[in-house]
Order: sequence, then C-alpha cells, then structure tokens
Amino acid sequence: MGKRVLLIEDEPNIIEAISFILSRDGWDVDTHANGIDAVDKVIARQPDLVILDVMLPGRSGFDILRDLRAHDGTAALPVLMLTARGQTKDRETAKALGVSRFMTKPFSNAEVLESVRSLANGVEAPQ
Amino acid sequence: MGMLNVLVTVSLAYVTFLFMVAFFADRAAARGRSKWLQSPLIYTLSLSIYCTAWTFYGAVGYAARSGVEFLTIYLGPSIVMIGWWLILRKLVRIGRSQRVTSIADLISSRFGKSNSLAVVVTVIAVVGTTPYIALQLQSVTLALDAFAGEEVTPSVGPSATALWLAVGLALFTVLFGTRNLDANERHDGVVMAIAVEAVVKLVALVAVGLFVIWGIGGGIGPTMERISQSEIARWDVSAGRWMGLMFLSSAALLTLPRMFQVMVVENEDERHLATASWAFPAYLLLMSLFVVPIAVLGLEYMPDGANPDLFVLTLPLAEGRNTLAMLSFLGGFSSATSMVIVAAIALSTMVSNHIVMPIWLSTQGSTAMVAGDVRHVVLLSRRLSIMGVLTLGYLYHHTTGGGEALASIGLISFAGVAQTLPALLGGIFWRGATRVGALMGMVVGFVLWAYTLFMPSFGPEVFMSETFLREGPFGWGWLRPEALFGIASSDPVVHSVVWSMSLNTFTFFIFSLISFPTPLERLQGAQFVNVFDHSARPGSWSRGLAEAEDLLVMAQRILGPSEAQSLFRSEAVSQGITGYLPETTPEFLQRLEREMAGSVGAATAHAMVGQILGRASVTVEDLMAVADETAQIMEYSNQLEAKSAELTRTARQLRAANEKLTQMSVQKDAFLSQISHELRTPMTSIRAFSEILRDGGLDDAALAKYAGIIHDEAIRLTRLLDDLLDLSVLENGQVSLNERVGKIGDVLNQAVAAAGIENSRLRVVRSKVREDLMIYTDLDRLSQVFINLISNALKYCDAARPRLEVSIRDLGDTLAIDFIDNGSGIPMASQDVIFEKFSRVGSDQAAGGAGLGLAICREIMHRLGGTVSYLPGQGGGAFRVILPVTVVRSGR
Amino acid sequence: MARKPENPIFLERERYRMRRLMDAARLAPVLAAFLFLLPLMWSASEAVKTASVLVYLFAAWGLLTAVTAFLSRKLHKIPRDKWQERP
Repeated sequence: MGKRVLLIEDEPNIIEAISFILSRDGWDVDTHANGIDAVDKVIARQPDLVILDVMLPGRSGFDILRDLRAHDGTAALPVLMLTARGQTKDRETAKALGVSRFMTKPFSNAEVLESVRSLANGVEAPQ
Repeated sequence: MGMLNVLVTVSLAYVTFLFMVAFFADRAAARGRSKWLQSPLIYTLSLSIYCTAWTFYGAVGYAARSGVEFLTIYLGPSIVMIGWWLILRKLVRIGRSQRVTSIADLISSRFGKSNSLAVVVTVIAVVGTTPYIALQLQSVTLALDAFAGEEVTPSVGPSATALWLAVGLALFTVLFGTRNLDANERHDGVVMAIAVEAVVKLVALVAVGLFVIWGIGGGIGPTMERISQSEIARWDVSAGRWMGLMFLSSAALLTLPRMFQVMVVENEDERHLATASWAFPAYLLLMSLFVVPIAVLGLEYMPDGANPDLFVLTLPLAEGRNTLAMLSFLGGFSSATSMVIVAAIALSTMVSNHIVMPIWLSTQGSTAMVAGDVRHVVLLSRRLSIMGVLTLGYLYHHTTGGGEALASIGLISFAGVAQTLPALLGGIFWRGATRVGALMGMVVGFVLWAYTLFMPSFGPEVFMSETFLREGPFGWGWLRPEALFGIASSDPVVHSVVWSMSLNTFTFFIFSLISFPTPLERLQGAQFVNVFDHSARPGSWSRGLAEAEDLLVMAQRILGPSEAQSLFRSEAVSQGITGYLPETTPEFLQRLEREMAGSVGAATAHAMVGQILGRASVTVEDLMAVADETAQIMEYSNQLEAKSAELTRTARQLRAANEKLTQMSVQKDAFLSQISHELRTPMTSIRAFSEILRDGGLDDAALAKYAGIIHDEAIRLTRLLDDLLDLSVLENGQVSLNERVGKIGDVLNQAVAAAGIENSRLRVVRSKVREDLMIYTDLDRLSQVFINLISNALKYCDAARPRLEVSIRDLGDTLAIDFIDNGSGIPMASQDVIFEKFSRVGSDQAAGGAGLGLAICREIMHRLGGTVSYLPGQGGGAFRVILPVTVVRSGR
Repeated sequence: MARKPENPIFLERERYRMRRLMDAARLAPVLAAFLFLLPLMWSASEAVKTASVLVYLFAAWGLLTAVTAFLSRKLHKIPRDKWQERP
C-alpha cells in the first residue's frame, strides 16, 4: 500500500540506512537534506509521517516542528524526531513543541521501524 | 681652456662624491645604523642652507656696496636661534606631534585643516622661492663665467649651464628626496649631503678670508687699517633699514619653506635644537667674519667695474691662487645646490599635498580611498612637483636673464615668504586666531608685497609701465606702488615690508576678532597653543561610528600594509584587545589621522577619515568638550588623566573578561552537546548498517557498499578521537616538542603535498622570498598548522578560480607567514569565534571535519611560542602565522 | 625625578633653579636684540668707524653665542618631559 514517509536529515549515510530499512518494509521514502525549505516540502508532499533530525543546516528541527504544528494541514501530522545530542533538555523542548515521538541516535533499526509503523497507523496519537 | 676643464672635472667629481654620500647615508639609515646621522651636529649643519649662494657671493658684494648693513641678514636669525626656547621649541614640538609636512601643512592644520589656506601658503611659497632658485642657478653660471674669463667662451653658453644644473639638481632631488615609498620618512641622504656641503662652504669662505687677511692684507692690524681707509669706512646706516632687515631675516628663518623643512620636518630629536641654538649662530658668525675684509681688499685690488658679487672668486683668481679659487667655486656651488635641493623638496611636498593630491582625489570620486595604492600616486606627484619647481626656477632665470644684484632678489623673496609669519605666530600663540583672519591677512600681505615690491622689481614695462610707477594707477598718486598713501620712502624694501606686514597683521587680527571659528579650528587651536600640556588633547571624533576594518583597508593603502597593521595592532594591545581591530576611540582616530597626515598632509588625511566615518565635521558635543572650562581644568592635570585612562582600560578588560566567562559557560554546554553529536553521528551509521548486515539477505554489491560505509565511519570516528586527544594534550601542555632545524620552504612543500589539493581547483601561489630561511622549531607541528590552513582554503574559498597566496614577511623580531585566499573571507562577527572548538562558519556541514582544526592550530602555535590569527581587511580569507625570531636562524 | 624623597629641600631648590634657567632662556633674545640695535645710537657721531662697529658686533655676537651655549647645555640636562613645565 506504500505509505509515504518524508525523511529530513543531512548525514548521507544515515539517510541511506533509514531509507533502506523503511523501503525494505514497504514504505515509500522521500528525503530532504536541509532545514531552510523543509516546511514547504512537507506541505507540498503531504506525507503520512515525518522523520526529523534536530541539527540541520540552515534551520533547527525544533523550529521546523513549531511551524508544522502551527500550520493547519500539518498540525496533526505524526513527527518522529531523531537527535544525536541526547540531552534531556532537548527531549523536553521537543515534547513541549508537540513531537509525536523522540529518539536518540544511535538507534536500533527495529525500534525505528516499530515507531514508524505505530505512528503511521495512528496507534499513537500526536500529543 | 685647461683651467676650465680642470674645474668642470673637479665639479663633476664633487657631485659624484655627494651622490655617494647621500646614497650611503640612506643605506646606513635603512639598516638602522643612523645614530651618527641623527646627531645635533648634522642637524646644525643642515640649518646652514640658510646661507645660500646669496651669502657666499652676495654678502661680499653687499658689504662692498653698503658696508656693515649686510650683517643684519645674519644677526636676525641669530636672535631667533638664541631665543629658541620661545618660538622654535614650540614649532618643533607641534611639528613632531602633529606630523607636519610643511609650513603650508602647519598653517592649514592649525586653522581647521583648511586646504584653501594651504593653497594660499603654497602659492606664496612658490612665488617667493622661484626667483631665489633662479638666483642660485645664476650664481653658478656667473662663477663659471668668471673662471672662463677671457678664455674662449665654450659652445656651452651660460643658459645651457643653468639648464644642465637644473636637470642635475632635479635628478638628485628626485633620487634622494622621494626615495622612500614611505613618503613621510626623513631624508637622511639629503640631510647628510647638505651637511657635507655646509662644511665645504664654510671651509672655502674661511680659507679665502684667511688668504685675504694674511696673504694680501698683511695681517689683522693692517687689514683693519685698510678697512678704515676704504669707501665703506664710515658707520653710516639707516636705522629703518637696519631694523627692517633684521626683522625680515628673523621672519625668513621661521617662514622660508626650506628652513621649515630642515628645522621642523627633518628634526629627529627636539634636543638637537638646544645644540643648534648656539652652534648655528656660531656658524653664521664664522660665515660673516671675513666678508668685510674680502670686500675692502676686493674694492682696492680689483679693477673698477669688476662685479663685487664675485670677489670671493675673482680675488684669489687675480692673485694666481687657482686651487683656492677652485675651492671657493666649490663653496659657492655647494651653497647654491643645497639650497635648491631642500627648497625643491619643501615646495614639492606642498604642491603635491595641497594642490595635486586634492585634485587627484576629487577626480577619483568618493570611492577613491580604497581603490588603489595611494602611496605610488603620492610619490609620483612629488616627483613631478620637484621637476615642476625646478623648471619654474630655470624659466625665471632664462626669461629675466639675470643681471640684477644678487642681494635684492634675496630680500624680495624674504619679504614674500614673511607674509605667512602673522598666521604662523598667531596660530601657535593665540587661540583666538581664526581661519578667516589668517586667510585675509595673508592675501592682503601677499597682494601688497606683489604690488609694492615684487612687480616693480622687474623694472618698468614688464608688469607696470613707467607712468604707472611714477604716477600710480589712473594717475592716483596715493596708490603709487613705491609710495603708498603718498608716504615716499627712500627704500622700497622697507616701504613694502612696513606696509605689507603691518596691514597683514592688522587684517589678521581684525578678521580673527569678528569671525567665529569652526569647531575643528577651535580644537586644533587648543592643541597647537597648548602643545606643551600634552593632556589637552580633546578628541575630535565620536567613537563607534567608524568601521575599524574599513579604516585598516584605507590605512594599508597609504601607510603600507605592515606599518598599518602594526599601528592597529599596537593600538589594540594598548586597549587590552587581541587581534588587529581596536575600538575606534577618538584618541585612536586622531592618532591614525596624524600618521596618515605624514604621507598626504593634514587636510587630506582628515578628509579621508571623515569619508570613512561618513561625516566631515565635528559634532556639537566635541565642541562642548573643548569649551567646557571644567574639562579644561581636568585636562591640565596629567595625573587625573593617567588615572582615568587606567580606569577605562581596566574597565574594558573587566568587561572583556566578563563576556569571556559568560561565553565560556555557554561554550561548555555547547561543547558537551557538540562532542555528543560528533561522536554519535558516525556511531549511528555504524550501528544501523551493522544491524542491516546482520539481518542478511543482501547481494554482493550492497554488502560491499555497506561494509565500506561502516569502515569509513569508523575511520571518521577514530580521526575525531585523535583530534580531541591531540587538542587535550596540547591544551594541558603535556606535549613534547621535537624541535630541529629546517628550511621553512621545505615545511611548506611538505604541507602543500599533504593537504590533498592535487585534484582540486585550488591554486597555491608562493612567493619564494625568504623561503630559504632556516628555522628551529617543531617542524612536524608547524607543518600540521600549514596543512590545516591550506585545507581550510580548499574547503571554504568560494571564488570561481580559488587561489591561495602564501608569503613570508620579516616583522623584525618575528616572522609572519600569511595565507591569503581570494574568497569572500570570514565575516567580522565570526572572526572572533573561528578559533574556538567545533566552530564552523555558516552551516556548511558538508565541508566535513568537526571544526577542531583551527583550535588545534592555535594551541600548536601557542606551544611553539607564536600565534595564528585572522588578518582582516585583505579582501579574502587571510590567516597569519607568527613565529618568534628566537627560533629563526638565517642560514646559508 | 629619581631623587630620594628624604631630601625635599634639595629638590625644591633644584626645581627653582630650573625655572630661573628657563627665564634666562626666554630673556636671551631680548638681550641679543638690544645688543644688536645698540650701534644705531652711535650713528650721529662722525668719529665712529666701520671697523670698530664690526669689532663690537662680532664681540657681542660671540658673547651671546657663549651665553646661549651655557644655558642650552644646562637646559639640555633637564629631562625632556620637564621642558613643558610652566613658570
């Protein structure tokens, strides 16, 4: 059925890994590598789920998330955030901004897959 | 004929000798071995250009015509020198502290850096000096003729002699007067050459004097007897002339452009004036001692109709003393040439700074400041001006054809330049003097001088008709040039001096009283009049308006890059700031302006700084600071001043320290999260792909690809850990240096090879100058720094055809290696942080690396006892590595 | 001034001398002008000869040079930053 995932991430190798894992599971993966026009991209593509990195060139993942939540079409969109900074402060910031799920790099592939499945199927509603 | 040939040969040999003296003195000065060049003795001797050919030949002629009166020309300057404590000391102090380049510059600077005033002074100086230069050319020509005597006049006519002399002098002056690229440097070679000439002319005149008294006169007693028997035996002098000429010559010592040049501009040390105060009057005394005996015996022995102006030469010649006559010729030659050389330098500086440069700048439009290297333009303009001045002198000589008695041209010239005296003295002693007053006074004085003395001196029918001279313009008798208001004087010089000087002074006072000075005039007035209370130096620029970087770019064009950088650097250090960009405090702007004034004159420098700051005048607040009496009282107390400066500095340092602490705590958090990010990112790829591999089911190509990714990321991780470890070791000072001797070029070769640029578009351009210097340091660590800087250029230089210039400079006690690329450089705001850990300018993560490179470079250079810093204002990204010279050995 | 503070009288005296030296330096040109203008007083007299005026002027000139040399050498020894001191 091919639900669509938009992966916003700038590290080429991580893009490659996540794309591989999700494609293998039957997802339709679209990627975007910078923060500046990420929001426009989300609105244009209307994906079922967004995977968002925090440290992006041009604009931080937090700012993008805030804009997505403020926009009618994407206010309820499931967003999975990934970060390599892994500080508790970042987790709290993300929660306050309305993230659907927050994960720290490095992640286990199975965990990512499980999170994507449950978010996309609406098992876990956006907070 | 033989005699003339010998003379020409001797003269040419003498000229060659002078060229060599100037050349070696310049070289010695360039090597810093100029201590003896800058002695008070040399200074005193250089002042002797007061004694020109007019003294050497003319004094005797003058004495033969008018007796003792000739002495006034030397007594006047003696009074001024004896009174050095009153006027000259102040002039020299002002000249040095304001970096004055000429008398025009001084007057213009005092009256609000007004260029129109400078132009007026320059015109007066040129008009007053040109006849004087012509006089020198004429005297050499006449002397040569006297030697030729009845011998066949060679095909080289008198005019040709003057032409060749003018060409030779222009060559010498251009060579040694505008030799340094740094246009405000003192002319050590020229000063040394004129000091030698001073000795030659003194020795020559004394030798002739001794010969005349003992060789012809029969000793002192008989000579005195002959004086009492002669035509000039009676003490019969007009009191008006005696006082008038003494005043005129005193004024000339202060206002003649060439005297101002040697006395103020070329002064190395104020204390030299203390020596010159008695040594120069002594020199003048010796120069005048034998004048009357020579005149009296000349009148007695030489045939009627012989030119008394040439007795110094013709008397020994008539007695068959050819060697002595030749020495005498060289003395006169020395007097003439040294005057012309210095006058040409002084005039060309004025013409170039106040007429040529302003015109050039205005043709360049407002962007001219940063458009090119102004120094070359300044030098070219000075060279052209020198040639222009000498051409004028030659043309004057050529058209008037000489013939007038030497003394009268000299006095006319004195009276002309003396018109700047009221503005000069008023400017340095009276704060109420204004620009309008100075301008009006000088114009009135100059016009009166031209009308009553200069133009009539050409005789009837040149400027003024016979009737005009006799009956005045339109028959108005009260406007007769030589008898203004019907007051006929027996003496045109005294008549002209009395009228021009008194009306000049009067106009100057009246207009000063009724006009109101601009703020800048008042500021400059306070600085000039109170030059000895050095605390009274109110700022003329409000801070914070100027972009330090723009100023640096401009200063580099005018002062030269290394001079400008060291000026900015030293100011930053004194403000307690690191780097090259000091805060643009009023004090700093003033200092910068003064430094630049040494190259282009005060008015131009002021205009240039004003242009960068976006305004050309002083604010009301600045004016208030000057007018405020309380501020004045405080300024008088040096102690308070020093303390408040100290406080400002401490406060600035505290502020900086506080900022740094705050930054550090922010940085520490940022550092931890950065480290976490940098370590986790490769980890993520490694973990994800190893799980994928573990899951199995991949084809060979994918297998190889993913294994490759894991491998690359593992290496990236290792490199990062290595860098962190390296930095930590360096920061804790645990590193052991492997110091050895090597050629700096080899270290660069190694770095260029290792930086991985062979397949890139980056071109590394190296100037091979100084690359064979041997250095003693940790060569591998140094190479690591170079590699980092080269690969930085590789990553960040965004030019279409990226190019990196590597050059080595000798900064005296340190060696600087500059890496300058042609990209867009690093923005001001980021220049402070690029040496911090994990700082990457912009968001360009793709450039790779963790942002530790420059931090490591900085630590390495710190360990090696040097520094690495960002060099702003070079038009691209620029880094400077500085190695202390203690680790540098110049090798074979 | 690197003088020891335990001798303040000496220091005062020193400074006093310095000031008077500067006064003398200021007056020197006045003396010079006076001496050089003096011969004008003799003009009326028939007996005055060029030769004697010459001897007088050169003698006065030499004397003034010597006085100035003396004053300058003394002033030269004062540190330059003290030169600016006002009376």
